[in-house]
This record gives sequence, structure tokens and C-alpha cells, in this order.
Amino acid sequence: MKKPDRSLGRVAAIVGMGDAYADEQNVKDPLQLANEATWGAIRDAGIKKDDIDILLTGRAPWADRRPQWNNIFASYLQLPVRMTTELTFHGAGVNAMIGQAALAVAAGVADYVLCVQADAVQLFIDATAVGAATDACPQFEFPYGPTIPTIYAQLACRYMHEFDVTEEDFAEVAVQRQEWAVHHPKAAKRKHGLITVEDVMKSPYISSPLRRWMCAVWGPGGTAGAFIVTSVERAARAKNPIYIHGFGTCTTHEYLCERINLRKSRIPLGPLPALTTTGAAYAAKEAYEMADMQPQDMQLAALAGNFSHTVLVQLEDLGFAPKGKAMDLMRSGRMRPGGDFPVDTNGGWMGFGQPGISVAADSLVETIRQLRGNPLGLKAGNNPKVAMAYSAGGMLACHSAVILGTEKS
Amino acid sequence: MLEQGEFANFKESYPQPRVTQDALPYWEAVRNKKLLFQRCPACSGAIFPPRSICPMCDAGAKPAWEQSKGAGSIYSFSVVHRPPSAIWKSHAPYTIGLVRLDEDYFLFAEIEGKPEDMAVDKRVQVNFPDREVPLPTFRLV
Ligand SMILES: [Zn+2]
Repeated sequence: MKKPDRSLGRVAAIVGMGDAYADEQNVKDPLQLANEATWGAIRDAGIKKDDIDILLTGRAPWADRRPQWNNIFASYLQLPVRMTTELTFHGAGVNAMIGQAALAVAAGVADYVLCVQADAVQLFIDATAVGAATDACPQFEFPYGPTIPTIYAQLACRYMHEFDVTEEDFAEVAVQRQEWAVHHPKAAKRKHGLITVEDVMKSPYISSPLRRWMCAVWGPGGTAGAFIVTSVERAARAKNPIYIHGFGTCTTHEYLCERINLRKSRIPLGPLPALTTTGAAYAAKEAYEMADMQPQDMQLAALAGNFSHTVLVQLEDLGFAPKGKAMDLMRSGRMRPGGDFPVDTNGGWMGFGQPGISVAADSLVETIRQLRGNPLGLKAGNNPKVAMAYSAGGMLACHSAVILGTEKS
Repeated sequence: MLEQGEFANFKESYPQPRVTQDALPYWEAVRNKKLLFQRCPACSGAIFPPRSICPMCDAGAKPAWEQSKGAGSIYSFSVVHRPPSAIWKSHAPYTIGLVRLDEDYFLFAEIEGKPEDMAVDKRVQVNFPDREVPLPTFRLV
């Protein structure tokens, strides 16, 4: 497989970042959220709106599923651009956008690329119903009545079976996500306070073995993240640039029934058929190689753990723990508040919540805020200079990783 | 603003499978209480979901339909306690899993039986219950 040029890890930086939030008392739709975040990013970058050459968005927000949403947003901004497209990587689109923006900058076709993702599921739609209907195969899965947790639970079942992991282990993952979430003013689960393993084990099954506390919630009401990418040369004039050291993406399937029937793959997924290694491993490997870094060089990470078991699988696939051993890292306490390897510092997808497809933008916002030392919630205790933001989309389908840092490499 | 499109109706009735051209023989067989799958004449691989050209090898061969014995084992399962919409509530809790058929392909399907009896590797047999929407399910053997 063609490897990306490693010099791509030295060409681009994020010079502007904006975030926006909505809730029941302060209702905003995805266009409003994206707009607010975009203007925040423009001001942060110190540029003018018309400096933007390319607009990238993720797939259309669940709360506004009009096709060509990227174009709708471009015209909402009155922003004629050279190029605009949606990166339909499910929720993983936002990290993938950063990579595509860096490519555009490297190719010299754009000075500034605006990357935006917004959603507001909880305020506008019945996500449980629509989610299953969107992400289950409409022919061979959805007629049986699964939810998104039911589809993800197939991996949870196999992970427990293959690696002797227990429901109590899954409960511990939820406890540690909540330790960060209680400090974040926008986190959907902040209001519940700290929890114990017993609390998690007492919560009802949503789809076994996943109990309520082991699942992300649809919330907060709405969020958006906007990011402006430019060249490292232009970034030298910016006040707070975050350098893009590496990026990697891959996608392996759409529906779970296709994934489990996959018998060979040039993207390494371990011995097939199996579910317990995902494309995250490959996306991360590409990012590490481009950055000329190792997993142990990461001083902070933002995962895409919508359920307890996906947190564990991702820690392994991203190289932070051997396969089947992520619980050892979890129990070490290194990822908790005060630890030397803070992970999911906004509470992660489980604690902060999933406002919709903007959830990955929230993780990227959190990563940049921590690198700049101005998080909305608890500050990482180790003053991180290099971090990985990883995002997943679909039913274990789409994977994107970016390695960001405060120093030019 | 919300566009749910083809997903709008399932809350009031069980969803019909969105049948593809490749899978017409599969669904015709299901109505006759038979389970079909495809096999590649070149690489002999069992193919599912159905295709018009084998994706598992480079021969570009047209898959042939075969009848499955419908016997397999549970690869993974989950008991659904909170269904996707109101229509499923009376049916819950129900179990959905990945079943590895003896012909070496996988189906995502309901597994009938008591939730507490479900376990990885347990043997199952295909079943065609009389329901509003005909679907193959599995039963613990
Ligand atoms: Zn073949």
C-alpha cells in the first residue's frame, strides 16, 4: 500500500479554533453552531473570512440532514470558495478533514482551509430510532430491531470472550471517564457527579453486556468545532499555532455484517474473521510514521470511546496497550486526572456525550485547548506538548488519527 | 428541517428489508423457508451479503447460489433491553447476534431463546417464524 510522504508531517498547522455549544435553555441549530464556531476560528486565526480558499465539513449533521450541507453552509457564510466537500467518514470526518486540509496546503492549492463540524441531535431528533436506522444494514440487520448499542455490543461480547474482560472492567472505564466529565461545564454527564463501579453495575442493560453507564449519552444539546489550517510558514505569524505532525485515516466497511464476513484485508486487521482489531491501528500507524513518533511520545490522547469496550479496543489499536491488555493501563491510573498520560480529558464520548456527528470535533477542540493550556474543564496536569486525537465513525468502520503539537518539528 | 426519508415509517410498523437486486433469490428463498448463500466458483469462498461478482478473489467470477443447512454457532450476541422504537417494545428483551454458519459465513440475526441461555459457541439452527415480515432467525439447539 502506498505510504504517504513523511514530509507531510511538517507542512501545516492549525492556527484558528472555535467552538460553540447549545442546550435546552439556549437552543441553536447546526447552522448557527457552525457559524459561531467558524467566526471564533476566524478571529482566533487573525484572518478574514475571504482568506478561506477551501471549506470542508463532515457529513450532514443528523439534526439537519440536507444533502450538500457543506454547500448550504458555504452559502450561509456568503463564502464563495474554490473547493468545498463533505468528508463522509461518519463522525470521524473532522480528523480526516485536518489531514485533507494539510494535503491541500502542501499541494499549494489553498492558503487557508476551514474545517467545520456541527450537530444538535438531542435538541431536534429521536436519535435512538434514527441512529439504528442509519447505521444498521437496512437489508440484513435493521429488520431484526437492533440499536447502535446492539451492533457495538457484538464487539463487546467478543472482547470479553477473547480476553477474559468482565462487566466490572467495563464499569471501571465509565468511572474514569466520569472523573474528567464532572469538571467540564459542557459535559452531558457532569450533572450526575462521580460514580462507582457499583453504580455502573446497578444501571440497567441497554443492550447486554452494555449497561446505561457504559454507553455514551446523546448530549450535550449541540456543539460545533471549527478549525483553520494553513502552512507552517504562515503559522509562524499566528499567535497560538498547533502543528500537525501526522495524520492517518482508513475505512474498512460500512455495515457490521460486511465487516464480519471480511476474510482478507490489505489494511491489517489481525487474523480474520474477527472484530477485536479495528482500522484504528492502521490510521494511527500512518500518523506515527509521518510524525516520526511512537505511541509513548504522546503526552495526551482523545479517544472515540462511545462505549466502555471501544475505549479499551482503541487504547490497544492506537498502541498504548498490548491487545487485550488495556485494562492494565486503565487500572494503572495514568489516564486519570493527575496522571502522567491524561486521556479523554473532557470526559470522552461517554462522559462529555455525543451531541451527534460533531462529537469528534469536540475531542479535537479539547485536544487543542489542552495543548494551548486553556481547557474548559480540568487542565491536564502534565502540560502536554504532543497529543493524539483519534476519531471513529460508523460501526467500527472509519478511523482517523491526528498527532498535534505546540512545537514546530 | 429533519429529513428522515425512508426511515420515517418504521416506528409504527416492523421495517421491511431494503432488498437489493443481488439478494432477490435470498428473499425469495426465505419466503419458502429456505436459507441461501453464494459461493465463488473460482476461490470456493462463501459470500455474504450477496454480490454479482466475487469480491474475495481476483477472478471476477459470478457467484453461484447454494442452500445452507442452516446450522451454526453463536459468534457473538447481545440481548436488546431498550429497542430502537415503540414497535419493538412488546418483543423485548430479544437477542441479536452474529451466527457463524457451518458453511463458513456469518449472518446478523435474531437468536430465539431465553436470554440467560445465550452463550458464545452454542449451537443454533435456522428458523422461519411466521411473522408480519418474513426473516430467518436462529434457535438454540
Ligand atoms: Zn472468489
